[in-house]
Amino acid sequence: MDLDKVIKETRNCAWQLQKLDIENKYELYSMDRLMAEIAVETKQMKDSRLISAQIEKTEPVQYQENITQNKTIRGLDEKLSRLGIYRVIRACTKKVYRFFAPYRTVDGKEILKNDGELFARIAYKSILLREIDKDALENVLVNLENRKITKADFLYSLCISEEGKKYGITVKGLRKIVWKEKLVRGIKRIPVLGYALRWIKCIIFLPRMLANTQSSINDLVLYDRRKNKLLMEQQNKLDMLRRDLEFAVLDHDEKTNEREQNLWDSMENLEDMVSQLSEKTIDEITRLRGDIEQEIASVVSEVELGTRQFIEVKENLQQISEEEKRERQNLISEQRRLAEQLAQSELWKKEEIQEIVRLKDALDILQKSCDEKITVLLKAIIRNEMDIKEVSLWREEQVKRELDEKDNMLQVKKILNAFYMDYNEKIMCDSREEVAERQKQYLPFVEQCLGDKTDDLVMIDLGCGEGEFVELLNQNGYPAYGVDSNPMVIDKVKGINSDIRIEESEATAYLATLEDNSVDFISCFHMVEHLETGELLELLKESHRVLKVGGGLILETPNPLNILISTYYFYMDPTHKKQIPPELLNLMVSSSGFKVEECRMLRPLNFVPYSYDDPNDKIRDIVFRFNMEQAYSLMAVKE
Amino acid sequence: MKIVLMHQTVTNHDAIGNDIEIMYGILKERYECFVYAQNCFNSHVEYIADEKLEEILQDENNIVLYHHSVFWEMGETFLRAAQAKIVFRYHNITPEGFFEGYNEHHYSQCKLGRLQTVRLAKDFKKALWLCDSWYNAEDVEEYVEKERIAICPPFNKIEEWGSKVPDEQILRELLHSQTINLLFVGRVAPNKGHLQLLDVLYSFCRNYEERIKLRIVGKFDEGLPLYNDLIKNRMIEYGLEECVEFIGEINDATLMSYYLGSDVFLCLSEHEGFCVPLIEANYFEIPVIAKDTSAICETLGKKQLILADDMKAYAAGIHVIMNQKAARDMLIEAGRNNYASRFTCTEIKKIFCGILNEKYNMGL
Repeated sequence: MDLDKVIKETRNCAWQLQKLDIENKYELYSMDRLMAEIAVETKQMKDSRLISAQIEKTEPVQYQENITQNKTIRGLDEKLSRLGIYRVIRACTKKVYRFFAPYRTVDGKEILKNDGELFARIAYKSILLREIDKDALENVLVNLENRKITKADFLYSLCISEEGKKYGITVKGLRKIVWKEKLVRGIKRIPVLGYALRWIKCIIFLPRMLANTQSSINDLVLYDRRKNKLLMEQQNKLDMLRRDLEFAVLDHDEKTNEREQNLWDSMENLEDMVSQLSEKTIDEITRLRGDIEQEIASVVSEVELGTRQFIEVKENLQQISEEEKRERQNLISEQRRLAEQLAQSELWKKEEIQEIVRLKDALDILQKSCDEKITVLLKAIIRNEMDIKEVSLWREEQVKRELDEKDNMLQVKKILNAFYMDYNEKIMCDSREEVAERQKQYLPFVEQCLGDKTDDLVMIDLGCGEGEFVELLNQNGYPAYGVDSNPMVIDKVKGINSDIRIEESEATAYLATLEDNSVDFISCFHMVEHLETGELLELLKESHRVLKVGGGLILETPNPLNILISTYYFYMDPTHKKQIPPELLNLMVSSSGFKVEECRMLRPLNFVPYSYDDPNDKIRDIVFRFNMEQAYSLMAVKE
Repeated sequence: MKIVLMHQTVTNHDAIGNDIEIMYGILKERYECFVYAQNCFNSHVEYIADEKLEEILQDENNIVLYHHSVFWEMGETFLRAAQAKIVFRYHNITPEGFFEGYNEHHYSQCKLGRLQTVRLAKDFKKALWLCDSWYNAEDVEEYVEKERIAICPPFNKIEEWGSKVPDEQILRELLHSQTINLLFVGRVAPNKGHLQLLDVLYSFCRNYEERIKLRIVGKFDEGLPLYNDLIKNRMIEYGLEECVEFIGEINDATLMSYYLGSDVFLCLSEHEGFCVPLIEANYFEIPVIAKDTSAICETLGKKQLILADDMKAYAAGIHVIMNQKAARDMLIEAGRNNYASRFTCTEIKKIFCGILNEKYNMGL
């Protein structure tokens, strides 16, 4: 066990205990460590084939352009392209306007100055405005290397390619170079002349070639001289180093000899000293040995004691150190756990803050939306309240108006009822007996409909007026009763005959209170002309509903076929509403489900005294229309 | 004393628009303050017309705070006729070389802008230069004495929009995804190092099995078709079509979701005068790996992972950060401290007011 190491570790542990403060946890990590780790990582990384450097070198050759002219000419070109003739001459015109207003141009010589990959990249970037792809690059390099194409050919092929045409970049001077190369290649191919020309070319360019060769030789000589000079310099340096080394070796040898000599001298001195010691002090040594042995024995015992103590202390320390190590490990793990918890809690905190922010925002939006909705609702409620108020006011007014109208109607009806009474007395002044006499003609029909039945019969005379027909039926043993809406008439009848039963009601309204198939007979004298068409149809419908099968119906009304009735007498009664031709009433009754048994013309008016003897008299028919029956009746049965 | 802030264009959501808007708010509390711009898109400030501007510029007691980030000939003309005290708020201009061969207009504008910077620095002998960073100050220190140069980071509205509600669906998708989510925020322009971002991604994919996705938030410039094609071709060549997503221009809530849901903010920009997205990443607690160029190192501050040119090192950095929680926590903590101690509005306001008080005794 190394005690120093233990103490150092203990101190470290104490230092780490002090460092448990979480705020300072980053002190454990430093920028130096970070940079060192990055450096280590970088060394282990694969080299990527980055193209930054190449890109910087392969900047495209700058081009010149006249955008305005180009736009104008291109626009014109596009418009003219729609003409068929222009398409024929377009190639020629293109050359012409290119001459005057050239497209973007780049200097061909600038591009051709470069070689190999750099040339290919610059050419692509200058003419196609993009990087060259891998396959194209390899292809170009192989062709250039094998002399299958020249650089000018390659440039030309780029210019005339579809992609090149799209950008319309013209390479200045290229066409000239290409034609020149083509011409040279053509001439070379001529069998004899070509060979001769090559010889002539060689002879012409011989001085230049010689000059170039001489220049190259001079360069080589210069290079050789420079190399020799460098070699000489290196040789000199080596000689100097060799000399230095030799001096150093000699110096070292001298020093070694000197040291050897010194050693020998020391050995001799030592031998002398040993001999002197052996002679003079041998006794003393013998004496001292005993003392020394004693002292050694005591020291040994002390050392043994010390060793035991030391072992004990060491064991104790070892124990302490192990405990401290455990403690330290616990603390470190605790520290880590706390750091992780803190980091996690920070993350949670961040997330919670974000969530809170989001929720707050959502709440704000919700609040806003609620406020808006509440506002809208309040507005709607207020509007509704106002509407309700308006409606209730309108309702009140309506009710009031209806009540007023009802009052008015009642008033009018009262007046009309009173007037009708006067009218009956003063204009329609037929006596009750006369009326009853006229109505006797219906008794056979009544009998026909009711047969032998006399008990539990229900017979109603609607609009019974002064109740002549009811009274007639009662006299003949039928339990009939009347219905009339005019209370004044009812009072009058009650005054005449208190046994007659008359219900005060509108006819249709009264029938509506009765059950289906509950009535045996209905009569209706001079009432239907007081109704509108709809009211009449409703009355017929209700009559059909309440009548039993086989039940009879009598309708009597003024006859509009008689000209005097239809143009004059009908209007004597101010409560009359519609005249009903017999055919129409017949149809209405039939349509309501009755079978019309008979249509009977009643009481000729005989207004104009006439004999009807002369069948050729022109006014015969006209006179008849004045004299004919003033009323008619329909007798029908429910099937 | 009246103060007028000048810039060619004042918008709502860009770094300079925010800087102008907040400065306006601070100065307005004590002085009559106005804004003069050729294109006025920010409705939170009060603009003035040419006549009023000329009137203010004629009074030597007034101050004009000229924000310089683009070439603006008209602005320079106004300044040359001005009697008022001039403060140049220098946000830097991208060196024209980045646009050479990509866009002739951008190239010439940047070139003219940088020449204008030198001209303004040389000709306005009394003007104070308020630079976003020490890196920006290097552009003018040859012509301007040190006493006339002060550094004040641009004001930002990160705390304002960062306290809003993120887009929940996007955030949920990002947090639940099983991929490493890398983020870069910046417009698609040659100085932003998009090609190198792809190199890093490619290196990562070649060396590690983990799934990874890079999201680039920022709009494409239609005037840079060659650069855009270059990015597209590089993506195809590396086979990274599925691993890269261009998000385009987005609203604050969506941007916030991308910041909150991403694992690493990767920036290989070649030129930045300040780079606000870095401090946004600090605020939203994403570890940043950035390239040691321009003002990036200065903006990120201490204990941040800033690397050199070796693309493998960036890939290794992503791997280490994703697998070493302690490393990740350390970078996040350092980023948080960087933002809190240097770039909160309160801190920047202290610096800004301190400079103006010292130079012009404004009592802000």
